[in-house]
Amino acid sequence: MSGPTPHEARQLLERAGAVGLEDDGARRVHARVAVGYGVVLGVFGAVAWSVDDTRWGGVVTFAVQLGYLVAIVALARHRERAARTVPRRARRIAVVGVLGSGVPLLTLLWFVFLGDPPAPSPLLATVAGLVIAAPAVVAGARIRTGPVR
Amino acid sequence: MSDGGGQEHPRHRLDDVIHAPVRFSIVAALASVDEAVFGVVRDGVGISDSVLSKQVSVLEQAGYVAVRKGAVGRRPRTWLRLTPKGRRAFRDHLDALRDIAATGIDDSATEE
Repeated sequence: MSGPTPHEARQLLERAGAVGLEDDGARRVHARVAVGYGVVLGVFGAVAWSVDDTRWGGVVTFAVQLGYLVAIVALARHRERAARTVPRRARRIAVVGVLGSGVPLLTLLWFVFLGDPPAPSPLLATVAGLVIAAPAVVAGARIRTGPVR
Repeated sequence: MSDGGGQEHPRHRLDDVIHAPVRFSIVAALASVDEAVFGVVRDGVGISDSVLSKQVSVLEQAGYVAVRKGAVGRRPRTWLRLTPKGRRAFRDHLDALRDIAATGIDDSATEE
């Protein structure tokens, strides 16, 4: 290979920087879905804890689980339809965020179903939901703002 | 092979697969995202479906690009992404180009 001249090399480097597929719309979609996952997990945790001790707890928990599954599938489908690119590191950030929300959720569910605690006050249930949602919401915000340059 | 002075010229580090102009643009475009729909890459690089298909096959054979077939409703949708090997090759290719460009700056400085 004869190779490019220094001038051609500079032109190629400029071209490499110019051909970007970064799309703000896709970034918004991925951010929205990550936040959505957090909200769904947070609501699921808070409601599961709140209704566990009630007369209709089993039915409500089942309905919430169903709603949770529908919401997760709907969010995944929305992302697949609406976004035509995946921004750099968006997927990894979302996975870390959702796993970060999953840990407090599983801890809470373990506590609720095995520890049999009393029903929480609305404030406590809200706080629990916010704690669960926080990592995925932060991940969504991180995806929205983009990589730090 | 050495060009004299005991140091290999950076052009020897250029990747033959990536160096072709259209493939260079495709790889540069894919490097800016984790994954992109076929049509987005086609429009971003400004080439036809057939040219992109052909060049993606070459990149896929080199292990630089992965193709994922999906669907939105009944419509098929093809996703393209750079593999870690492809991303590394592109980074090395850019490094070689930077070195070549830097060589030019030194030359012009010497000429003056």
